[in-house]
Amino acid sequence: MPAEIDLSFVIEEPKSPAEVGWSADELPLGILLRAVALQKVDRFVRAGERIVFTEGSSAERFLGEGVVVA
Amino acid sequence: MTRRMRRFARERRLARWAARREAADRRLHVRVGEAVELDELSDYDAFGDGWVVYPQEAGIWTEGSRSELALALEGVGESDYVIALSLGSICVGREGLLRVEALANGERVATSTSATANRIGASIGLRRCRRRSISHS
Repeated sequence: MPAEIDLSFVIEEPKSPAEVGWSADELPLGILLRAVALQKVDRFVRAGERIVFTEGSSAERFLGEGVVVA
Repeated sequence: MTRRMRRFARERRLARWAARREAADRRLHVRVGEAVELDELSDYDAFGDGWVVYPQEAGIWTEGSRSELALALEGVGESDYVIALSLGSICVGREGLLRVEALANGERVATSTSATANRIGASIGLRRCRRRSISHS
């Protein structure tokens, strides 16, 4: 059986196209999702690759339990 | 694809979107190593509240402050995985930022603050919630 995930996106203060000057549309929008993919985490480090540990970087894939990105 | 065929494909997508029904057992199936293009789905029943489709635009926008999507992840084992999102755009002004949180089964798994789609066309790690939230057979 597949693993089931209920995914939620929480958008802080979504803006409408009218508010950002795109069009007259007043629906509050967030992100335009086009595709979803599932990948196994790649923990290999290539020769010459620099790993930078900052929030949102791909370096989070190297972190194990007990590490907090603050 | 010709212009006429593109138009026909868009109209068919809109018809499938309009026909969607929110059923508890309907999920978007994603297999490890594969990407699912949202414009090519046979139905959109996995999309809960907080989504909107525009006729002339590929993809599906989140609408409002919370959007729900039910996934079934196929082929997962005892490893760590990421859900990679391909984004077409984000709705912000030139100087604006958008803060987005992603929750998996109610637990926060990713946060991003960004002004560009590329920056948040990112991944949602499933390691933190693997043991507690993802149900394995």
